[in-house]
Amino acid sequence: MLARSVPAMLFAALAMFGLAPFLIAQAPYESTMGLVQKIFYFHVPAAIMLFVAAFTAGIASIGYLRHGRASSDRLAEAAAELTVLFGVMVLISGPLWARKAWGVWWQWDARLTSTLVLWLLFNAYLLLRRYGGPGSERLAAGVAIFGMFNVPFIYWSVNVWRTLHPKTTVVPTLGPEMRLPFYWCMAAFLLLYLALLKTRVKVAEQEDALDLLLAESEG
Amino acid sequence: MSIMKRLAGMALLVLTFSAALPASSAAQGTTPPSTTAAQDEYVPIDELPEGEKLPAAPFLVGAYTVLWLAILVYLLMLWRRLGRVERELQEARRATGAR
Repeated sequence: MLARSVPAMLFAALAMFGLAPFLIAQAPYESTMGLVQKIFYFHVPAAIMLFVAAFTAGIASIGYLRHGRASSDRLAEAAAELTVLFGVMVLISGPLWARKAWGVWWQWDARLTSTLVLWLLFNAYLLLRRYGGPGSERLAAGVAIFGMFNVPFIYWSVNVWRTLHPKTTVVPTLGPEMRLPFYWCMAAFLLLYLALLKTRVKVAEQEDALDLLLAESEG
Repeated sequence: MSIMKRLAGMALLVLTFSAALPASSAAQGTTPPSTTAAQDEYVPIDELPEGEKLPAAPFLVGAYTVLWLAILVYLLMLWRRLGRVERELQEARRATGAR
């Protein structure tokens, strides 16, 4: 059974997502991009959750490699799966926005390319966990740590290299009418992330318990 | 004399290449991508230009649909996986308890 907090968080997140389109519709249009800029209210929170998930996976992997705790490994695996999920959201909503705003689906610039690399790294992590055989947990932990160190590079890339992508100054300079729907969506995504993370950790705990029980009954 | 001329010609060729290559690569490397989309700050406006309204809508709706679908499909997968593993765990506990 899941802890009571999970359905509560999930319900709150879904209710907030239900209300979000109304807040986003009330927000003013951006002067250079118009309607399509409203993708921002989901694209950026999803990207931030992508970074949070990658950091969670990386830090839990460090914990696993240092102390060998199975709970750290389970947390890392759960966060890695969420990194891939939020990565899908970012890498699909981004090009849809780019096609209208920039006239192209994709640019091989530092921000977009390094985000794609991060997503591929965590796909590699999951493939390693699934098909790597015994001992692949430690190798996968190394991949997650490597992925985590990619995150600050992705964040700062828009300020360092020339790119079409908006810079990190956009969020702090948002007007009040844009700020409310943005932080509303951020809160909804954070609740969703926590609910999914807790659920995925629970799945991993149950799978480990089942493996242990089956091993005991056979041996 | 002809050897000298050939050498001079080759030297001229090498010089021309060495001068042209960095210039062309520098030109390629420093050509900034251009866009009219805001990169530093978002400036709000009240009215959307008429020509803007329709073309952007499919992209906006598409992006939100993909996000919703991703969330719902993952939730469904997670719920089914949790249900299956809990069922298997109960069966395994019953089986080991019966022995």
